[in-house]
Parts: sequence; C-alpha cells; structure tokens
Amino acid sequence: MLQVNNLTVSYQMMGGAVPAATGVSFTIAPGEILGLVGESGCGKSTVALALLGLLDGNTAVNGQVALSGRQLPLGRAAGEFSWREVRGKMLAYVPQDPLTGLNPVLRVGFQVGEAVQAHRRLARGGVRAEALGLLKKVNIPASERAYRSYPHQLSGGQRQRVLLAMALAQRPQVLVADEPTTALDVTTQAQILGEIKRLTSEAGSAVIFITHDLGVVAGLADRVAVMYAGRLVEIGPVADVFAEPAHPYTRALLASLPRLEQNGRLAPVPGQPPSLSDLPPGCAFHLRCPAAEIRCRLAPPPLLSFTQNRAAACRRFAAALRDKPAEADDGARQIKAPAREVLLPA
Amino acid sequence: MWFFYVVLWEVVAIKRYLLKRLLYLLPVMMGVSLITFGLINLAPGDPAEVILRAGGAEPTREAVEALRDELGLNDPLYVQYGRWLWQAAGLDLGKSFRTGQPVAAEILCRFPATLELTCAAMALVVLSALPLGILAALYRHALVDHLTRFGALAGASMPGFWLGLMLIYCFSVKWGLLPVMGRGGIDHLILPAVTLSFGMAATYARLLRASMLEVLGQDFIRVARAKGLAEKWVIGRHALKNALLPVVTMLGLSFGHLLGGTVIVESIFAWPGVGKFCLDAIFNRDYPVVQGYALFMAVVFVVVNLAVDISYRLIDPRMRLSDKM
Amino acid sequence: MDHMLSRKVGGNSVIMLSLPTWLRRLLADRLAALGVLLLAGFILVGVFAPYLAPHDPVAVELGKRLLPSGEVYPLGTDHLGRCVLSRLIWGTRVSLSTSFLVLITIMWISIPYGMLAGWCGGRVDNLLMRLVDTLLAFPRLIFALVIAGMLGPSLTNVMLALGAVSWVRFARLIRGLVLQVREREFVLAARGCGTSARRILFTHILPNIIGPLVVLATLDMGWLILGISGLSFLGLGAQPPTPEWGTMLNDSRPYFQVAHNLMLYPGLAIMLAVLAFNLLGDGLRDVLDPHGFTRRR
Repeated sequence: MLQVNNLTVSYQMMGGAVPAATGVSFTIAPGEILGLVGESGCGKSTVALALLGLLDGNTAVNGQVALSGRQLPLGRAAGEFSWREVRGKMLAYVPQDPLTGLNPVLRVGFQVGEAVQAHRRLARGGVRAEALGLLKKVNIPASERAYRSYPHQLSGGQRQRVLLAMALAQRPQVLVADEPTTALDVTTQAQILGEIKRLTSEAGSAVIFITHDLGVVAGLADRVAVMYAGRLVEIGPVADVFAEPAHPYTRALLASLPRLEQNGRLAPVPGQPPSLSDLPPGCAFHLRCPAAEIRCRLAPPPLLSFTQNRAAACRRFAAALRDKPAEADDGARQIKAPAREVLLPA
Repeated sequence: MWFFYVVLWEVVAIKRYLLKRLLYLLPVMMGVSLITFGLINLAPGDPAEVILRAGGAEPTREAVEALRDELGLNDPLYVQYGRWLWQAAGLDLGKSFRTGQPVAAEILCRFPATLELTCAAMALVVLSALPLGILAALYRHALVDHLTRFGALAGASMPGFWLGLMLIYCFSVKWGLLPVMGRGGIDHLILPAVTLSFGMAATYARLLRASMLEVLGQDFIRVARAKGLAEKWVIGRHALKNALLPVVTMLGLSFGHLLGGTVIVESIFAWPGVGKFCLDAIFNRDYPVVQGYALFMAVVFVVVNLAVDISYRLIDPRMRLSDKM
Repeated sequence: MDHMLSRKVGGNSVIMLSLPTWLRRLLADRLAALGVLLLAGFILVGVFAPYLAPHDPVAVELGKRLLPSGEVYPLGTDHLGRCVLSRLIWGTRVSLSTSFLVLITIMWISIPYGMLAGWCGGRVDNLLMRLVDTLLAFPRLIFALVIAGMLGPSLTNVMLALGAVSWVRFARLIRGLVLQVREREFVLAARGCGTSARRILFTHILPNIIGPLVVLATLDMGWLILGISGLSFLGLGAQPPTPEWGTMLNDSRPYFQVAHNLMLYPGLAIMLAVLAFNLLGDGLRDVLDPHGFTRRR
C-alpha cells in the first residue's frame, strides 16, 4: 500500500552535501506495523520526515513514494496544496517529545479540534464532541478537564496520548511514529505501546514505528527494517529476523543485547558508526564487520532479497541464506536467542 | 462573555502576586525617593543663593540666611528628607525656583504632550516591526530579511538627535512638507514620532524575527503541519502567539529607553513635554523641577514595568497561577 | 574539527589557523569582521590624531567661517572657522577615550560588587541587589541627564553620570553568572580543598564568566558613545572648545540651511563608531555567549 522506492535525502551543509539516507526502499501492507530500527544518526527520523514532507529547507529529496497507488510529492518544490491533502488524512505523525510536540500556549482541546477539523467542515459543537470522544478513546482520565487544559498541565504520558489522538483523528492509512516512547518512563512506555497497538488496529492504520529499542520492536512490530549509516541493511518479519539475522550488523546488535542467562562479558558492536559526511567506500559496515571481504570495500551492497519477504544488504550472507534449504514451518515461530551457528565458514 | 470571567479569575489569582510585588516595591521606592532627594546635594552652590539670584535679588548674607531658615535648609538632613518625603507623598514636589509655581502641577500639565509623543512612537514601532519581523523570518535570506538586518544595525547605531536633524532638514527645510517644530496636529507629530521610534522599530523587527525563527523550529509546528493544517494558519495561530511572548516583555521593558529618548526629541522639535521642561530647568538651575522630574519618571517607569510583568503573566498560560491537573 | 573550520573560513587559511578558535569564528562572520575593521580604523585615527589632522582643531579663524569642502579644508569649516575634519579626528580621541574610561570604571566597581553578591548569597546578596534594583528603577538616560544636570555642564560630570547609571547592569549580570558558576563541580571541589574565596572567585569563576561580560561591555561602549555625544548635544557635556561630535552637531543647528556638511559628518562619525561596537558585540555574542545571558536589553 505504501511503496517507498529508492528514497535518498541529503542535507546541504557548509562543507558539502551530507547523505542522510541513501536508496531506501520498502513497502508496507495495510494495517501492518513496521519497526524501523537503528542507532542515533542512522537516518531513520530523516526517512520518516521525508515521507511527510516535513524536512527543513536545505534538503534534497529524491526517489518515489506511492501511497495507495498515488505518487506523493517529495521535496520543497512540491507546493503546499498537494501536501495538505495527504497529511493528516492519509499520513499522520507522532513526534518523540510530547512536551514540545504540543503548542504550549493553546489549549489541548483546541489542538485536538484542529486535527479533527483539518479536512472537513463540522459545526462547532460537533468538533468539540468528536475531540472529547477522541480523548476518551485514548484513555485520558477526566477528558473534559483535559480538553480545557494547557499542555504543561498534563503528564508526559497523557500528552503522548493526546498526540496519538490527534494523529489518528482522521483514521490515516499510515501512522509515522518517531520514537514516541523514548521520552517516557518504562511503565508509561508499556501503556502507550499498548494504546498504539490497540488504536491502530482499530483504525486499520499501518504504522512505521521508529525506535532504537529492539525489545519494543520485538513486542510490537510485524516486520522490522534495520538501518545503518543511511541505508536499509535488513528487512523482514520480526520473528525471522530476530531468530536468524542475515546482515552482520543486525547479528551484532542482537548479540549485544544483555540476557539474563548470560554470564560472561557484554558484547558491544566494536568500533563507532561512521560520520555521514565521511562514509567509508563500499559497504558502510565493512570496517566493523567480522566477516568482511575484499569485495565489501568495492561497492555498497544492494538490498538482496533471499526469501519472499526478507532482504539484506550483504552479499555474503544473503546469498548463503538463500541457498540454505528451507526449514519446515512449525507454526508460531518464537523469537529465540540468535543462533550463532549462522556464521558460516568463509 | 466567558472570556471576561476568565480574565477576572486570573486577575483574582494574580492579586496575591500583585501584593507581593507591591510589597517588594516599597523598599525600592524608598530608595528611589532617597536618591532623588539626595540629588539636590550634588548641585554646586547654595540653593538659597540661587533662588535669590533667580528672583533678581542680591544674595546678601542676611538674605541668604533668612531664606535658608525659611526653607528649612539648616535642619539636619534626615529631617529635610522626612519633610520632603511627606510632601512628595502628598504630591507636593516643591516650587520651581524660577516661576514659583508648584512643580507637580507643571509636570502634570506637560505630561500629556510627552505621553502623546511616546504613544505615537510606540504605535509606529508595533506597526512597522511586526510585519517586517514576521516577513523577515518567513522569507529568510530574501530582500526583506537583509533590509531589516541592515535597518536594525543602522537604527541601533544611529544617534536619535542626528536623525531628527536630518529629517527636519529634508522634510521641513528642503521640501517644506512638514512643520519644523512645535506641537499641533498630526503633521507636527510625524517627524518627532518617527525619530523616536526608528531605533526601536528596527531592533524589534530583528527580535521578532529571531523569536519567530526559534518558534518555527519547534516540534509542535511540525506536528501542526503534519495534521494537514494550512501554512497560514500554522504561522498565524500557532507560531505567532509563541513568538510574540518575549517581544511583548521587551517592549514594555524598553519603555524606559523610549522615555529617555523623549528628552532629546523634545529638545530638537521644541515639543512642549516634560523632557524639554526638565532640560530648560537644568540650564536655569531650577533644581526642584529637576528633582521632581526624576521622581516622576522613576515612578512612571516602575509602574509600567509592573504592568508589563502582570500582562506577561496573563498572556503566557505557563505562567498563570491556576492549579495543575 | 580544524580542517572543517579552515574550509568554512576559506581565504588565507594559514593565517587563520594560527589564531585562537573564538577569534577565528568571530572573523568568519563577515559583519563582525567589518566591525573589527571599523573599530581598528577609529582607534588608529584616535591614536594618531596629531599626525592625521590637517589643522588645529581649536584654532578660531573668523575670516574663514563656514567654508564648503575644498582643497585646504577637506570637509569645510564651522561657524568659527575651525577645520571640520580636524575636529572630527580629534573628536575620535575624545569619544573613544572617555567612553573607555567610563567602561573601565564601571568594571572596576561592578565586578567586585557582583561577585560579592553572587558568592555570598543570602542576606548580603539581598541587600546588595536592593540597591541595584533601586538604581534600575530609573530610566538610564534620564537619570544620567539629571545627575549631569545637577552637577553642572562638563565632560567629566557626564562621564560620572553615565558611569553611575550603567554599572548596575553589569553588577546584575555578574551576580547572575556567579550564582550559576558557583554550583559547578570544579568550584565545589575547590571549596572542598579549602581554597580561599577570593582565589576561587578570581582564578576559577572569573575566567568562566568573562564571555557574556565582554559582550555586554562591547555593546555598552556603543551606548556610552551615544550617551556622551547625546548629553554633549544637549549642552551638558563637552564644553567649547573641546572638539566632540555631539557638541559639533549642536553647534551646527543654527547653520544647517547654509552649511549642511556641518550636520552630516559628525553624525556620521557617531553612527559609524557605534556601529563598529554593535557589529563587534553581536559577533562576540554569537561566539562567547551562546546561552544568551546578555540578550535582555
């Protein structure tokens, strides 16, 4: 339903152009939850904002994005009116920090009402009623009082619920959530995640859930996409990817997760992510990859799909996994500890 | 209708804050009065002598002594201060050395002229800075932006008295469009008001631009756009209100700057306000007038600051004293 | 980081790289660089005034009154036959030196005052700040006018008045900064090993608050120049025959129909001098005061 094809975003900085995202392609089916993971600075927020046309002025955006068959305008040249039909109605956005995401000088009810009213004409009473209904739907206690309050009078979790309500007001086809729980404490985080799952399945919206927390992805998402240094390096169903990661980066990430039964040292990913303005030649990960080869230095590997719904940007392992005999599908596949035996001999 | 009740409720909540502020003001005002009283001791020479000379009489030793006794200048300082303070509280600021008229009356009857000038300048500042600042923020690096930046630098650096003289030269002398000096109708008001407002207008345009740019970079603007709202609505309803907050405070606090500028402008354009009155008094060594002027201006300044502070609390919902949820 | 900066600055990278970081960043801002240039120009003119001025600035030549710009007198003469250019050049000395003197005096008073208030806190702070608040209750220029008026017209009195009025801003700023820096770990560590308060204040705290202080000082220089020339314009400051830009403007008033150069050049001089300080101050603010402590004008 949402098709992103070769999305490339670069920022114009003083020293030159910095590629924030390169050649990102993926699709999302209706109602599906895609978890977009990666370290800080890997480009995931950039991709999200690019989809909504909310990037700042000095960016160059290329590629094609189609929503339900309709081409979305990209970049600033697109013009206001074309974006207004899409935003809110078909694409919606939930930001990371609930405090700065709400206008501090306008009442909560007013802002929710704006979201309700964005693309249609309603009588004033109708707007208020619907806004109140939305607030109730996201489980905000004392919704009448919340309606009249200002954002600083609500708690962090309540503010995030308000943002959710605003985003889902028009029942959009795709909801882009940019680390919506990062600014919250763990208990509230769990609640909000539950709300997101409930509300989006009710509204039938697909979700692009951006996060750096693998645990959240495991619990919430249907599919996961891993980004590194501006490129998409792996994509596939959550259970499969977590059980048998194909890309060395994904593998290293999963291996670095501390586990209860683990007794030895923690195993972080060695090295540092490269600066986007100073990328190494070839595969961006090859300097830190335990299985790097000569050919990794020559050209960045394309996203190779090796089963019908999985792909990875690594020539070595994608090929290996594709040639592996298919395992019997034993129904519900649990996420278990990554099988270290997947490291095939050179 | 409900808006009125909201304001009333806020004012009631503010009353306690107001009381606290007024209480704090008291020692400040005492200090102000003390300093103003002490000013007269800076002046060289004997006030009694000066009065006699101004009256055309010969300041003989006996006459001076007699006048000193009469004015109570031989009493200890604290007694003099107490007397002065008591009189000042009763709005009696002494009598002018030169004319013998009560100072308070003279100041009050000239104040409307200064007020007219100040309000006109304030209006000009708001009318020019607001659109310029917003446009400079929206069309960054365009001509509007560069012009306001240049104008702000020029305005902040330009001496007001020079601008006034140049304006008189161009508009009154060379082209004969506007009258040179004096108070009268709108045509008399234009040049002085422009002179007074120029520097401030430029500075505030830049301030508004900076504030606007800061607000436009905030997350909630992104969220508002993501909701599908029209750009004009986002700017007008969401951005502007936030951007105006710091500017409103600054406007009020710079009222003092404006007041200071009136002295120079009134002098150049012969505008019959309190500033010119004080200036004449200085050259006439009419110290009670100068003293009264200092006290009066300080009081006005303090009152305006208080008003600005309160209005800021009314405008910014984060500062309001209502309870949290 | 360094190579990025030399790319940003461009031009003569070799020279640039040998300067301290803050200076590099300052000069990279074109307007600030212009301010530095202007200021350097004014300082040079002021220092070398005796060599640069073509004529004696105070020599009265009634036979040569109100001449227009010409060969002998590049900018003409004023109503007493004095060379305008020479008076402008010597006026640079007057303006710059007087405002600088006032600034130094202000710093001398306000730094100890502000540091004392910020360091001690509590009742001492309250008391000291009450005085500051009282003085801040007066509009600056009006207060200076009144003080200068009471003391009598003279350049020294104007300097005293402006100084008396301006020091409070600095004191308040310094106190605020000291309050902030006081809570930082290195100060607590110094206190923990028994360092004396004075040593802490001057070796630890002062270097950390210099940034916003310098910015305020630069911007205030501009205000001081305007203040001195403004009060001189009103007749309260420099007395004849001292060549001061404000007095020159005042003197030009009766004659501006005949000789408008008398009105143009002194005002231009004032504006350019203040502009230099404003440009420099704005540039310094971006470099030294990113948190904007000095923004409350």
